[in-house]
Amino acid sequence: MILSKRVDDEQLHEDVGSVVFEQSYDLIVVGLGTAGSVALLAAARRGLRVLGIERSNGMGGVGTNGAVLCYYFGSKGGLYEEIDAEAMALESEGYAPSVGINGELKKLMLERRAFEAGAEIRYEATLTGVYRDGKTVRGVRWFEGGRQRGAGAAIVLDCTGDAEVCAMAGCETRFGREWDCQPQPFSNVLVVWDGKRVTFQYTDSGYVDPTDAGDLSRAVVESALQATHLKDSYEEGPRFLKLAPQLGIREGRFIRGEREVTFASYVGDDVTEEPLFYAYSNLDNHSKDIAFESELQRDWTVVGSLWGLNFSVPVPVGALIPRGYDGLMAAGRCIALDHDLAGCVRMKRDMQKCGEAAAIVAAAAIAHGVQPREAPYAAIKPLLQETGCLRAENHVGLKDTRTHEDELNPRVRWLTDEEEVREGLAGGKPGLAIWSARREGARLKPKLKEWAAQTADSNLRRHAAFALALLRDEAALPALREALRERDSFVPRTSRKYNQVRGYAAIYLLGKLADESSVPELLQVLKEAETYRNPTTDVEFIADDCEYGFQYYSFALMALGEIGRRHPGARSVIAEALLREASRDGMSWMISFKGGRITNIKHDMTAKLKEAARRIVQGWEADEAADATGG
Amino acid sequence: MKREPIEWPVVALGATFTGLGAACAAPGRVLVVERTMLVGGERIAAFRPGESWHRETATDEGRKLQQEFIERRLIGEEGAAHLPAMSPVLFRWIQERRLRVRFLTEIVGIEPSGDGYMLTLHDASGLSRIRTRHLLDTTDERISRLLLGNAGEDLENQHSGKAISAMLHGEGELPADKVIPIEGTDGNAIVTAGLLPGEAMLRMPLRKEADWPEARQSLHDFWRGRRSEWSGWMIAAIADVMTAEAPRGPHAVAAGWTWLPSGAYANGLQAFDAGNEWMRKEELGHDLVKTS
Repeated sequence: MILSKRVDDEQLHEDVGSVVFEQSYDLIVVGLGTAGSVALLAAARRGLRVLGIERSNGMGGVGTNGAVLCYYFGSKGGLYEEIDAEAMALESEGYAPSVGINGELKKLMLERRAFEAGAEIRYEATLTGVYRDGKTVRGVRWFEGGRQRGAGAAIVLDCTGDAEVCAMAGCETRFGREWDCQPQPFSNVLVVWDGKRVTFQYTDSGYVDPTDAGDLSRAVVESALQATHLKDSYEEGPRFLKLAPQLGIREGRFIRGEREVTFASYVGDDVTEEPLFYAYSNLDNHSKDIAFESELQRDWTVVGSLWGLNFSVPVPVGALIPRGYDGLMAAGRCIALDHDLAGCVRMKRDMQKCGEAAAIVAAAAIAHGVQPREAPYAAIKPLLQETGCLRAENHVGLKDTRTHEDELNPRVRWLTDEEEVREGLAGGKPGLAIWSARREGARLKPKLKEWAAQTADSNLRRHAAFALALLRDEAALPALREALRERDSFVPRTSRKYNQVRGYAAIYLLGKLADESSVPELLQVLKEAETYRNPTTDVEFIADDCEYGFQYYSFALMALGEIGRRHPGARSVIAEALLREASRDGMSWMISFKGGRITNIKHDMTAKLKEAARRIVQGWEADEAADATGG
Repeated sequence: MKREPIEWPVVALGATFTGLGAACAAPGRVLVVERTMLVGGERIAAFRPGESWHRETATDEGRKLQQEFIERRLIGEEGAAHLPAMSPVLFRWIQERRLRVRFLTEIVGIEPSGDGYMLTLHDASGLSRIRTRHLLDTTDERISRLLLGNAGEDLENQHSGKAISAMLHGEGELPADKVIPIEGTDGNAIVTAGLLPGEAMLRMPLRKEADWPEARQSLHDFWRGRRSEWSGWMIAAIADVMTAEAPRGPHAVAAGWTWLPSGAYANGLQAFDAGNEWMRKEELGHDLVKTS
């Protein structure tokens, strides 16, 4: 048998010969956070002999130790609702009223019910190794109470959030977005008394790689020094109760699964017919440097301003199974997603469902004597439906969200009728129409060209051009160039917030179409962006003049990069400008993270932009060198 | 990830007040290893108020820390403290003084090595090894005792008095009698007023062997059944660290291995002073002797 560990940040696989475990289980759940706590309970209730290993001293993860007490969308239904209700019922027994679900009581109830169901739990236990025969996981090793311990299991369920078990076992994983592997920002949460109840506060605190110990330590320290936490005096304002003992990590490693659930697959309607549950939210990306996001996310968020459109995503069992591995599953935010779709598929309700579903799949697999991938869906589905984990009504399709009270949000659908599309493009909320036109593709192109060519209706012209550009049709160019020249400050009202300015959305599209003739104007944007005045009003996304200029600058930078990539003849002019920018003194891009506007907490993005400029040029130089050598 | 140098003169176990005090005495010579992401957890996250935070400190650094707490209104004139907001101040000290603290890191192995010890650490990057001349355990439970055979077994029974605490919220004055008998036991829970209005800390004793599930359930059952004079006071938060009573150190566990429990002092500043003084006397004195 092999014992796989991480040593000095590298994989180490040690042949330990024959291993006889002192204890063996049907299921070992590693990590009793949002997904793992529910997985443990669900498995125990199904009669599995289950062990839970948790590094902290309590269950529940971000909703308890992490003190994020409220829900943000996600689908209703499932075992977690029983626990939530019980936790809230206990509040009258001597607890201060709390927003959302009282974290201390949820921790208590999860544990109480897990023990009642027969689960075993090891707290303050740290995973240190994975036992496997080839690609079949047999058990885990952990450190607890001063010594290393081990146990075997038919199935190990990785609910660590960062796929630590899977990473140790040698599974393929991925991390962050394509451009620079950056994940979503994290938060450092404060628990406070606001005069009426226990509540929580946070701003986004920056970026961290949760798989890097040094970066984690840095993040722990720096995030506690923000103005929300470190004050001149604490006599005024909400009274501190504690700093949450767990960072709010939104994104870490993802496994590469037997089936990948990506934003591209969702957009392409390539979704499973055999869901374990439906995830539901908007593409909630907290980052503001969206010029560096994937092309598809930029299409959605920038061109469509569709940040606020909620959608339901069916999640299949294959997303919970690391590719090519037996005896191992994952649940929680580390399942087989990509960075883009993880912005939607990470909400607490859905992660709790994920844990429950994983336990049900594991139980079915064990009952049928097969690996999880072979567990019959026909046997699993009724069990998921029984608790409400899987509910047909959760597959809402699309919702135009105006409020967190989701029952009030109307369902919408993609438009197919030409007149509806025209009306949408001509209005102030064009996003649904823009994306619908993209979906319709060639069928609507003649009309899109007609609308983009007319000049009587500016919104119709420019939004039709947006749709054409998404279809890579150069008929979009005249209207896009116009929007660039004018630095078009129009902001649609497609989403409840985070709508994108039409001027720099046009810049993005000019880059997408590699419009070489736009190079002089784009270089001008680089020169003058720091002088732009912010006319927008969504202060949470663009707080001031600097942040407005930042968006123009970053989109111009990336558009020039794309143009140069496809037009080698334009590279020398662009490269000269980019290298000048990369070394220019006095540049300063101080950008707030989400929530930061309220507190004026700024983060310096200057180095990131300079590095992007250098990287673009270096990429061309590498391409040219490879071409020269015939490589 | 860029790894720390592999040799540290002193490794302090616990980012406690004592551990940070030791690190402040010689920032480049002390590596603090903390299993959680907490600073001063034995006081702050434990909701262990202590007393007399306003009394004169023994070290210069302790005085500066006290002064900062006072300036930020975290210590009152009569020595009470607002614990929760002390954490960001300690984090600021870590950054400003460039203290080397590894959070979310634990020691999973200790072996004698030359005139010191080889430590195996585990963190998000996996396992790694460092060597140290002196291990300073500042935890109240002396968690390093679990790691190497019979080291310090004569100290085995010397930590006791385990307890769980909670931050209470209420309106108006606290009841006069702040000692609350626990039904069915000989023990008493004790409530201490915090610095800010409406703030108080409840400390409930536990069995020495109590684990977290027992602690949570016991606290819940006790408070649910509390006397009527306490009905206006409610649990707003539960401590993330249990407390243990430990004898004031330093205690020699073995050669190059000292137990200096941070919770053994009246308040965090005294604990900070203890670590600071220990580092100056034991380690810097050691080097001065070597070089003289």
